[in-house]
Amino acid sequence: MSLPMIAAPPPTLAGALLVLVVVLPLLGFLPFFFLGARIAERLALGLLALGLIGALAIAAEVSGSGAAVAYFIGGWAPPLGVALRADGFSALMLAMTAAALLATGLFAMTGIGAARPRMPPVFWPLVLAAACALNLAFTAEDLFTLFVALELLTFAAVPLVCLDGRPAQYEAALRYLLYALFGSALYLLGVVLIYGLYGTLDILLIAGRVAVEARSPPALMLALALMSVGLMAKAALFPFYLWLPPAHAGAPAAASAMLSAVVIKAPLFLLLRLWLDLAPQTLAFAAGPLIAACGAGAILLCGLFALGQKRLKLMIAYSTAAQIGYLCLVVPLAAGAADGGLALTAGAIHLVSHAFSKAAMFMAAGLIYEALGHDRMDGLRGVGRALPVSLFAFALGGASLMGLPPSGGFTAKVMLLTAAVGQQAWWIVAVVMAGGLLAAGYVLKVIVPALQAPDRPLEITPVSRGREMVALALALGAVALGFLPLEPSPFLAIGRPGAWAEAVQ
Amino acid sequence: MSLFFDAALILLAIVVALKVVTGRDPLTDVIAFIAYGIVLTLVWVRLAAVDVALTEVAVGSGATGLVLLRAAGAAATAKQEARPGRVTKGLAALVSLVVFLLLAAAVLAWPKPQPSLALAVAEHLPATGLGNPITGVLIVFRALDTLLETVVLLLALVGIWALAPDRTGARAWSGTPAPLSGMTPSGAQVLLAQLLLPVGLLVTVYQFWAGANVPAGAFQGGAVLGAMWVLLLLARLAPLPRLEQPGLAVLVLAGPFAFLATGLAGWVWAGGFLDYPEGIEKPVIIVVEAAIVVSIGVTLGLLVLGPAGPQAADRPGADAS
Amino acid sequence: MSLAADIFTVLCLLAGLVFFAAGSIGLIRLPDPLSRLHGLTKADNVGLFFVVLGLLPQAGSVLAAVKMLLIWLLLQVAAGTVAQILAEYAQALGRSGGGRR
Repeated sequence: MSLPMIAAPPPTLAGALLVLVVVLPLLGFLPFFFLGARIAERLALGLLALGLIGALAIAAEVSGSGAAVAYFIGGWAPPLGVALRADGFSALMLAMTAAALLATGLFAMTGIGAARPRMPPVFWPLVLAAACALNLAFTAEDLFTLFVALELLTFAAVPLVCLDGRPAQYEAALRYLLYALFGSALYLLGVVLIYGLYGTLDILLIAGRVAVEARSPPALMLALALMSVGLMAKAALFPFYLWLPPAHAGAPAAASAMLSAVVIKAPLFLLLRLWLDLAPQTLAFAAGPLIAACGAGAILLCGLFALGQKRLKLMIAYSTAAQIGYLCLVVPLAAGAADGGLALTAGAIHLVSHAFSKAAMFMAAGLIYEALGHDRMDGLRGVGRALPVSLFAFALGGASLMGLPPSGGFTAKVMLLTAAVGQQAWWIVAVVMAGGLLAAGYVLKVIVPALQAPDRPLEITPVSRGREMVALALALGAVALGFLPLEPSPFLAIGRPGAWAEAVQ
Repeated sequence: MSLFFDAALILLAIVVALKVVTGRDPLTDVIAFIAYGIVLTLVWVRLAAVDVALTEVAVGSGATGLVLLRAAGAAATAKQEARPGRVTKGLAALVSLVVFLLLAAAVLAWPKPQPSLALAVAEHLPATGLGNPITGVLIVFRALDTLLETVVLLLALVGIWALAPDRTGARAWSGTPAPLSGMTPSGAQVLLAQLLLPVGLLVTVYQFWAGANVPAGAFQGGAVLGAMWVLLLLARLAPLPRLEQPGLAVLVLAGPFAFLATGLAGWVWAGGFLDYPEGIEKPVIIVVEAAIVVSIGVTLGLLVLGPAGPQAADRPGADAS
Repeated sequence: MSLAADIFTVLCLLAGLVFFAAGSIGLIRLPDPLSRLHGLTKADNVGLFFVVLGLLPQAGSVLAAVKMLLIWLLLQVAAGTVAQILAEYAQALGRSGGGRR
């Protein structure tokens, strides 16, 4: 029935999978209303496992064919319709998210809501809704569909923050909601401006128009600025980090892991996409240092704040606010440079390794909290003997944050440094070095006392071995990324940036 | 003459907007916010965006206003109330002003003639069997967005229900919400509900039915339906819903899941996801929209009602009908 | 004919405006909630009646005219009952001593 303006991509299985990884998680709502928490949990784990299989299949297809996978919803081609598209970067994000969410699910399986009957039936549909939102954010080609994805993500993430039902958490959740809505409003204003300029919302079509303009119109700069600030508010990027620590630290461990590991990655991914795929190179080159300056602020200031925390979970949350700064350093290095692929690869590896290591650390902290009944930094002596597996997972995750080899953090930082040195961006080199030292400071502040003998015998509530293993597996995943070659990844180059004609081949 | 009218309208919008942010207490702010929504509605009508105007008055002013009124009522009984200080307010005003000026400059600098998809929509609209281009965009060309927006509403409901206090033994979200008003409804209130109910239902059906061809649609119709329910609840002509009822869940889920099922069925009966079967697009779309109207109405009503109260189950008069 | 209709419309609209203005002034100037509501509701209902009456010759079709009359009727009912509800609420507030203004 349609008369597409651009030839639709051939109906491939991978294209259909793009749709399915977005919409199938929505089935998780059914048990919330009709069935018990047990069934909700089993269905959710099944759907998360299916999601991982789907994401891996998409990645395999992208890798095998060497081209991006695309799907036109309803057969309507952009600019009239909405396209989903997974290039190499998107496919990597899909796989990372699916793996992290499945691990979160396995970790939460026995632990969530033992004392709170309200928690399990709410937790599972929210995790699945977040999966839907994240997969959409990583694959949608349309600026407004991306707005819908961000809204879905916000409304899935905010209730997760206050699952425990303590008043402080309600406050944290409300603050998160306000920051997120502020971000949504700014992002949407930018989208409207872009539609007024180019008459389309499709990222690739806009990029095509933008690239051939002799001079970028000021309205485009304003739109990009508004959208960037909006995304930064949603990602808790410096200077908008204030909402993150209480929100991420106050949530139950499984929710914290998921929020820190993957939820804030969606706006960051879109920030990269905005500046590397949509903005004209000259603009990206000009704005890059500004964005990187925010990243440097995050790495240094939030790193310092993390160093000063007295609670383990708050420390990890501040560390998240610091670590996402590295993604901003990527923008000036990847935009418009001949060896931009190196910086982008560094950013992608950092995204994935931070997701795995941070999820592992939050899980380990949750287990320590469960075992000790508190997470005060001054009461951690002897935890290493009581919970060796959890502490080991925490230490491995921490090593990746510090950038010790072999770990994804190390690989990412080496590549980032190489790119920065190559472009003689010495201040970025200095920030990366200082950030590593700060991370070493706050991680060792936990590990060193934990390995010492306790002052008096610890009263330990036993924790599930299976859940410790989930944390360890994630941490090992972050370590495994350290064995990737130190060069621009050809996989990440697949399908970007290009015109539709090239994209749908 | 029209310039005079426009200037008056803009002035009114600015004055009412200032009233929203400078009120003495939450209740005054919310009442000003509702009035602001009505002024904005007039602005949209003036801009010939009737669809947006209907949505603004029904959802932006009406439904949102009701939710905020209830929140303001709760805030009035709270012990302390944190209001932003002068510095915060001044800073917010400054940022808003700067963003406004930049936006105005950017919008005035838009290219002319302005690039738009209106022509493309008009060209492809006949293939959908619809006459209203807005509905065509919402239900056909950008169906994925609309499907997921209905899910956002569903998520908002889950998030609000998750705020209910824990209770043992029963389902987490079981029980009834607190009544909308502590006062016994007066005769006038009951009369109003009785008189408006058939009118409101008629408007609901009209909105969704006419939405296929003229400005109107499922979201506006759903908002009117929800308002009718709230009116009945206020007049205590309808019992407060028990949130664990499966029937209620069916009504809430009908819209998003009928839409999703239609989308998935597209692979079977048409070319792919959210592709409608050729020749019977319109009947299929109308069935989906009807389900969306019901779900939006019920969900908006439930959003106004809020989570189950702690001892709502044994509240006297909860089942008086 | 058309001129006569136009004159009729203008006169009716002006009359309607006078009543609306009276209602609004009453809302601001009258001393207590009950008389404010009373003045506002009565004046606005009559004002709306004149506006609708004045627009009837301009409606173009019988259907549109009937629709306008129905809208007027609906607003009559709504305004009347809402005023009643507000008045009852004001009285209840007055009895409990919590009235503002």
